[in-house]
Amino acid sequence: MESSATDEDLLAAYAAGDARAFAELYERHERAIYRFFLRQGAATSAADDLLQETWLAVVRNAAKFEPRAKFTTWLYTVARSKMIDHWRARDDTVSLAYFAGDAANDADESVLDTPAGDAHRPDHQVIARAEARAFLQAVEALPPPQREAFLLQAEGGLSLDENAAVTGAAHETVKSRLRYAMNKLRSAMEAWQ
Amino acid sequence: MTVNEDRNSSGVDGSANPELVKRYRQASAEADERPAASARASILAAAAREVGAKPVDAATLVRTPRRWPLAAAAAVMLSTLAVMLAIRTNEEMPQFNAPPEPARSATDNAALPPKIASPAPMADQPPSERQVTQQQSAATKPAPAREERSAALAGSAADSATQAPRAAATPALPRNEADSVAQAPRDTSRPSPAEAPSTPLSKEQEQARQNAPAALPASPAPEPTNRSKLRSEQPVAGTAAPAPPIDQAGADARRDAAKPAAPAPSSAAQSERKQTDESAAAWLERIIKLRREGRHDEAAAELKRFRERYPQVQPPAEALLPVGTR
Repeated sequence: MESSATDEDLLAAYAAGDARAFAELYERHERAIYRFFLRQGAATSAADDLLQETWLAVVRNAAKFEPRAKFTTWLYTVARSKMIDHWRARDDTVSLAYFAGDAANDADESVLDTPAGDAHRPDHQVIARAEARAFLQAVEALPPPQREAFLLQAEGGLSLDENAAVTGAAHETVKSRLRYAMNKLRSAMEAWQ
Repeated sequence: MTVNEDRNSSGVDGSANPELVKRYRQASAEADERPAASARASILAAAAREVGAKPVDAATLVRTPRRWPLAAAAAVMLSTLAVMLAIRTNEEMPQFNAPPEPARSATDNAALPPKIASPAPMADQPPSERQVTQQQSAATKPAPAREERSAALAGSAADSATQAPRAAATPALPRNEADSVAQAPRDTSRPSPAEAPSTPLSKEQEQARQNAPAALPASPAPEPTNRSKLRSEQPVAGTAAPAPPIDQAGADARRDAAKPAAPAPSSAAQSERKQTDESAAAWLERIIKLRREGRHDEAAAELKRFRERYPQVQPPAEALLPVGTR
């Protein structure tokens, strides 16, 4: 059961020794962070590891958190840092691909391989599921900066300024990345209309 | 599912498209991606360790107040009370005051004087008389202070052991009675509570004793208390009635403990001596009455008992022989 406390309040309560506050905070952001890693091209096992590293960093630095900042901004900054570290440790080419917008996608695509003809099946649920997978595939196919900007907005709910603060990019740059990402996603989904 | 391509429907800042974000979230929910349970558990455990917390289960969320100190204190207090109660009960437990008496006929019961023990040998005495004899023999011992009674009570087991041979001779004597016997010689300033009669005397007997001549041997002088009335039924040393209930004895003991040990006034001694003499006189009168009524056998038996009881008292002639036979 979630309380009405803000993320910042929960983190402060945890820093004061309330472990249950942390559990609630973790419950709020667990899946979003996990998906953030998955969409960035991490495998499920790697996403689990990255999730742990991110939250352990939160645990260790909870006392240092300044209430003036937004928790999600800080959380996604940590997550992004862990993601880049993961890429660098794993393969430099992948890391370079991140910046080049050609990141490898090693997510489970068994469902995504479903042919487009399945959309003609009368079972609407199957069609909707296939369409969802196609959309996620389109997200994962975005160039990494655009995908990151999109995920920070879609998963973390960050504004342009917060997005820029997390990525270290300029406000206009983030705005441009988001615009490109939206256009590509629309184009990818035109086949489903 | 359609995608709104209208650029006017973009996000607030002109770059975000809420429709696309919503669609993305729906697609993510459809995928139902979640981390492994082990990752979740390790994260929460690490967080708990970091703040020194321990795993909490649902049962401990409802905290129960710590009441064990109160329970321990209550247990100690109850134990102490129980021990004190047991000690006090042992001290004041009513005596089983029903020694076996020989069966008597109705006429004997009517003719019997108040319970007066005879100085016969112990083996021939009933248990109650034997007990009294033991008390009287013990009364010759020096009496310790009243305050030593509690210590003597603590060693009552040892006292009981010393009384064991006598107790064996009197199987009906309960332990408390034996204790009272053992305690009796410690206080010579007053007679033992065991000397008080257990059954009240009839008014006729009381009156007969008061009218009797005061020519009988003297008895030790007690304090002028109510107990002197009870003891007034007791004749000279060497005679006693069965012991009273122990609760009365306990009450007497408490009263005595509250009082300083003072010598008995001479008026009280005279009063008791007079009452003792009256009881002997009443006995003689009853014997004479039996003679006059022609119940010589009963009179002879009574006279025999009287002589055993009062060997130094010379019965009158009317009591010795049947009237008219001299």
